[in-house]
Amino acid sequence: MFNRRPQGPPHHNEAIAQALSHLPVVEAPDAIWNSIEASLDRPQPAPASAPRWNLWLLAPATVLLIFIAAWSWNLLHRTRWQVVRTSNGAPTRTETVAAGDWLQTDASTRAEMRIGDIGTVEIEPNSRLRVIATSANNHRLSLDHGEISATISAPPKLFFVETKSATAVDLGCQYDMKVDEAGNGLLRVTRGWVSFEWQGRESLVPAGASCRTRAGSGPGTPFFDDAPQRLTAALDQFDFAAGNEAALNAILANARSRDTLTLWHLLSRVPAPLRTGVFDRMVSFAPLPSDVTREKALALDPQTLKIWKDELAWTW
Amino acid sequence: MVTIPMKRLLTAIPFLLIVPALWAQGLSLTIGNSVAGQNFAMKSAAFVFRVNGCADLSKVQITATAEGIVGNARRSVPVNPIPSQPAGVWAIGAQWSAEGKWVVNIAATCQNETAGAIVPVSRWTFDRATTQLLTHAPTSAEVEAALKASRF
Repeated sequence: MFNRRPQGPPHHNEAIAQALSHLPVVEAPDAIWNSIEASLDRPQPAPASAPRWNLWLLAPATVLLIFIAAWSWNLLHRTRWQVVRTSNGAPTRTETVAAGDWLQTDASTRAEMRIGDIGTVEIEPNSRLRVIATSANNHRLSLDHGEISATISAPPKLFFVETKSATAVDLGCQYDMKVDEAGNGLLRVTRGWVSFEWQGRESLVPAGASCRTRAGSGPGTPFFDDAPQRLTAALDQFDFAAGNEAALNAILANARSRDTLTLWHLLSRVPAPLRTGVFDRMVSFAPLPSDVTREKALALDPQTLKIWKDELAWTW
Repeated sequence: MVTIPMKRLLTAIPFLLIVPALWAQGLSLTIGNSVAGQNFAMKSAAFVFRVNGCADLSKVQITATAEGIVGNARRSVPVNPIPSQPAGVWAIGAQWSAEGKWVVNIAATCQNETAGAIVPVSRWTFDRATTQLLTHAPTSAEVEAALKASRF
C-alpha cells in the first residue's frame, strides 16, 4: 500500500482511514518514485483543446433538440376531437382529428364531429374541411367545400368556421352552412346569432334568417327566410351585381316590418345619398327608440346603430 | 305676488313634461323571439319578454302558466320564467308537452300596476300575429278563447 493521504469528502475519508488502519504500511519501491520524478521533469504536452467547431455546433443542436422535444410534446398532447362516420345512418368508423387534419366525406357518407365539449358539427356528403385549431378558446374549422350543420352551446366567439369568402363566428347558435369550391355559399341560422365576417364586413344573422356569401365579395346582406322573393332577388342584385338604386328601391318597396333586419344592414352599405331613403323606410315600420336620433343614425354612429338593432330585434 | 324666474321655469319644463309621460306609459310587456334577449343562453327559449314602464325592476313580480289542450284533456302547467341581462328581460323555455295546443298566460305586476299577455306557442317558438298584450292579468275566458283559436 502506498503511503499517501487519500483525498475525498470527509465521510469517505473517515471510512477509508478506518479501513486503512487495518492494513499493513508498506514503503513504495524506489523505482516508482524515480519514474514519477522523471515524468515531472519532462515538459508536459499542452492539453488538447476541444475543437472550436464543436462549440459552434452545440448551440444549433440544442435549439434543434428543444424544437423536436416541443413538437413531440405537442403531437402527443394536442387536443383531438372525436369523429363518427356514418353510412346510411349507421356508424361505420370512429376516429379522432386534431389541428391540421383534413376530413372528407364522399357521396354516401356523413360524419359527426364533437367540437371539444361545446357542441357538434355534422358533415354532409361530398364535403371537405380542415381542423385549424382545437384550443379551449379557439375552436376553428375551415370548410373547403360541402355542407355542415353546427350546434354550439358556448359563450360567443369560441367557435369559428372559415370559408374562402367569409368566416362564421358563433354567437351562441345553431346553423347550417354550405359552400362550393369557389367560396360561394349560404349560411342559414336556426337558433341564436351568427356573425358572418370578411375583411371588416360583418353581417349579423339571427335565427330564422340566412345570408349568402360570394367569392371576392364576402357576406351579403342577411334576410329572413320568409322574406318576399322579390326582396331576396333584389338583394342578390344589390349585394353581388354592383347593386344599383333600382335594386335598392325594389328592396325598400317589398320590405315588411320584420325586414328591418335587412334594412338595418343596408343603412351602412348604401351610398350616403341613398341612406335617408333606407332610414325613412325603417322608421315607417317602427318608431325610433328614445335614445336613437336621426342625426346619429344617419351618421352611422356605432353605439346608436347597436341600440337601434337591439330594439328592432324585438320585432324580428 | 310670487314670481318665478324665467330661467328656473325653463329648467323645470322638461321635468313637467316627462313625469306625466312616464305616468301615462304604464306597465306593459313586449314579446320577442329568443334572439331579442341578446343572450346566448336564451337561444333555445320559445320566446322572451320585457317589462316596460316599471321604475324599480326589482319589484316586478311575474307569474306564468302554460295552458293547453292535449287530446281532449285540459292541462295547466306552471312555467318558470328565467331572468336575464339586461334586467327586465325574461325567457320562457318550453316546459310544456310537445303534443296538443298551448298558450302561455303571463301576468306581471309592478307597484300597483298589472300587465298581461297570452302567447300561443309551439315547442320552440311563438305566434306573434295572435299574441295578445293586455293591460290586466289574462282572464280565464281570454285564455280559453286564445287556446281554441291557436294555430299551432
